[in-house]
Amino acid sequence: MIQKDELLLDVHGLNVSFQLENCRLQAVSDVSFKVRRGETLAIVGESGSGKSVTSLALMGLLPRKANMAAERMEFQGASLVGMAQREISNLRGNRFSMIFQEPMTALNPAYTIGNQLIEVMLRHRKVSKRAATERAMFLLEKVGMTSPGERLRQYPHQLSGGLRQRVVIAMALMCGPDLLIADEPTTALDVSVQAQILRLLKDLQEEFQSAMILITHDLSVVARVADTVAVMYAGTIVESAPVRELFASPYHPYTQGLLSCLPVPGKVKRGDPLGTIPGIVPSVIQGEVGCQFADRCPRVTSECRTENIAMQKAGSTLFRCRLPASVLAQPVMEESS
Amino acid sequence: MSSPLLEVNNASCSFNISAGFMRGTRQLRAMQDVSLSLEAGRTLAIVGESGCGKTTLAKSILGLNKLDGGTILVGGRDMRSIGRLERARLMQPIFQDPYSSLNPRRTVAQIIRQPLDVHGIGTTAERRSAVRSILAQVRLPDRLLQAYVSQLSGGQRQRVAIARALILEPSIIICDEPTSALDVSVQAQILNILMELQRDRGLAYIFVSHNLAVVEHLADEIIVMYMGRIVEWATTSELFESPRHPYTQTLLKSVLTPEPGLGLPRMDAGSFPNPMNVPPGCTFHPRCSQATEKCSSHVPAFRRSERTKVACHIYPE
Repeated sequence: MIQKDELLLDVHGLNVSFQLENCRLQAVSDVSFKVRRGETLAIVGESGSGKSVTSLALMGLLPRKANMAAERMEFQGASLVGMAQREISNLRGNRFSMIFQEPMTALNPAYTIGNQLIEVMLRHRKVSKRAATERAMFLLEKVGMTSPGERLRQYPHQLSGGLRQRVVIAMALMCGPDLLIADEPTTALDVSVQAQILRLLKDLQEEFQSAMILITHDLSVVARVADTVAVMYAGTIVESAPVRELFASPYHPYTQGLLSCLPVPGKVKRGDPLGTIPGIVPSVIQGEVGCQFADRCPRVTSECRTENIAMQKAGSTLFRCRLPASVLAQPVMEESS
Repeated sequence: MSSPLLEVNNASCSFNISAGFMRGTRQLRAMQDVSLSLEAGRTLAIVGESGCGKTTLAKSILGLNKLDGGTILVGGRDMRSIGRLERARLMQPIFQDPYSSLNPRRTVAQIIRQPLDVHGIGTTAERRSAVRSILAQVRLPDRLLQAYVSQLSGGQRQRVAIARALILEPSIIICDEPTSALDVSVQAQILNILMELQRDRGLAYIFVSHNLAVVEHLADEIIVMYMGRIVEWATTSELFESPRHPYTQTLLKSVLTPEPGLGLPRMDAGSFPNPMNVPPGCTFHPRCSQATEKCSSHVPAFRRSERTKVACHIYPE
C-alpha cells in the first residue's frame, strides 16, 4: 500500500573517496539527506562539487576503485551499505531508477528503442513480452511521443535529442519506481523542450506518487521544480533548505555568491556587472581540515582554515559555516575585489 | 547617414545533404533572406532553438559559409572584396567549446600570439608585450603564459579564446554560445569581461545564444530566428516587455527564471519540424495557435514599427 510521506531514502554521513597515485581524493564527505514519497529534492552544485558521485553511490554504480562508507544509507528501510551487488541490481531499474544526462550515451545504438525498454521489464518482472511491449507503448505515449508502435522499432540515432531524452525517461519509468534520480535531465536540450520535459517529470511524479532527486547546476530549474534543495560544494552539503527559503534568504556565502551570479531581470540592471565568485572549485584531499570554501569566501577568518565546520540551523535551513546566521544575513561589508 | 559597421542584406545559405547511399543529395535551406545591421559598441543577440540557423548566420558573417544569395557589408564594403587576412582584422570569433577550439599542443602564449605572427605585426618584443597586456585584460595571471590548454579550467580556456580574438584589435566579435559550456559562477566572470571590453574598446558583438536570461542582460537588440528566417527583431526591452511574434511569445513563456513558486509553464506547441521538410507559407504555422489559412500559403513580409520588425500575418502591413 502506498503511504503518503513515507520515508523512501535516508542517507546519513555518506563518504566517497578515490585513491590516486599519491593521495586520497575526498569526492563526497559527510553528506546526509532524506527523501519522502511525493517529494523532489534538488542537489545543486558546479562541476566537481560531488553531486554526480553522490547519485552514483545511491545507485550502487561507483567504479570499483571508489571507497564508499556511510553511517546509514537506507532505501525503504533496507540498508544499501554492504548490500550484495545482485540484490542492488534487483532494486535498480525496479524500485529506483536513474535518468542519465546524455541520452545518446545512455541508449545502446545497436538495439531498437523497443528492445531496450522491454528488457528492463523482463529483467525485473514475471511478465510476458507482449505485456512488456504494451507497457512500453503506454509510457512512450505518456512521455508525449507520437505513434509509439513505430518508435519501438526505431534505433536511437533516428530520434532527435529531445525524443531520445523522452525514451530515457520512459525507460526509467518502466517498472514504476518509487524513487527517480535525474542527473541533469534537461541540460542538453533547448529551452522549450526543457520546460516540456520537466513538466512531464512533475506530472508523472504526481501520478505515480514517486519521489525525485534532481541533480543539476541550473538554479532556474531548481527554483521551479524542487521542494527542498541541497547545495553542494567540494563534496559537502554547504546548505540545505526548502526551496523558497533558499532563494529568499541564503545563509552560506557560497549560496549567496551563486545566486548573485545569475542575471535575473528586475534584480540586476541590464549591462551591470554580475556577481562573481573568485577562484575555482578545489579538489579535496582526504584529511584536510577547515572550510573548503575559505579561499574564495569574502567573509573568511583565520579560524575557517583550522577548524572543522559543523552544520548550523536557522529556521528550516541547515548551513555549514562558522559565522552565526545573524551575521550572514547582513551584506558583506568590504568590497571584494 | 554613415553606413553601419556590419550590414547583412537578404542573405541565404543552403547545404547539400546526402539523402542516403546512391540517392544523391537534397537541399537543406539553413538560412533564408536574412537581413540585419550592427553599429559600433552595440550588442546584437541572435536567439532560437537548435537548428534555427543561428550558427549558420554567425558562420556566414565570418565568411566560413558561402552564401547562395545576398550580401554582407563591413564598413560599407562587400565582404567578398575583402581578403582573408584583412577580414580577420575586422572580425574575430569566440566559439562555444573552449576545449576543442584551442590547439592542445601549443602554450597559452603561442596561441594568443599566433595572429600577430601570421599578420606580421610588430617585433618579437612588441608581440610579447601585446600578449601580456591582453592577458591582463582578460584577468589571466602571467604564470599561465607557458601553460598548455589541458592544464587550464574551462573558464581560463575561454579567457584565452577571448584574448586570441582581441589581439588583432578587431571591431566586431562574433560570440557563438560563449558561456554555455561553463559553470554559472564562471559564466558571470566571462560575461563581465565581455561587457567591460565592449565599454573600453567600443566593440560590437554578435551574440548567438539560447540562454535568454544572459541575452536579456547583455544585448541592446535581439533577433529571433525560426527555421532559417528572422521572425522578429526588436530592442531588448521591447522584446521582453511585449513580444509580438507568436513564436517569440512561446519561446519567452518557456524560459525558466530562478523564482520559486512560479511552477512550470504548460507547453503545448508541439515539436520542432524537420528542417529538410520546411512547411509552406509561414514556417511557424503548424505550431501557431493563431494561424489562419493565409499563413499556410503566404510567407509573411516584415511589419516595421519604430523599435520592432515582425514577420507575421496577424499584424497589419
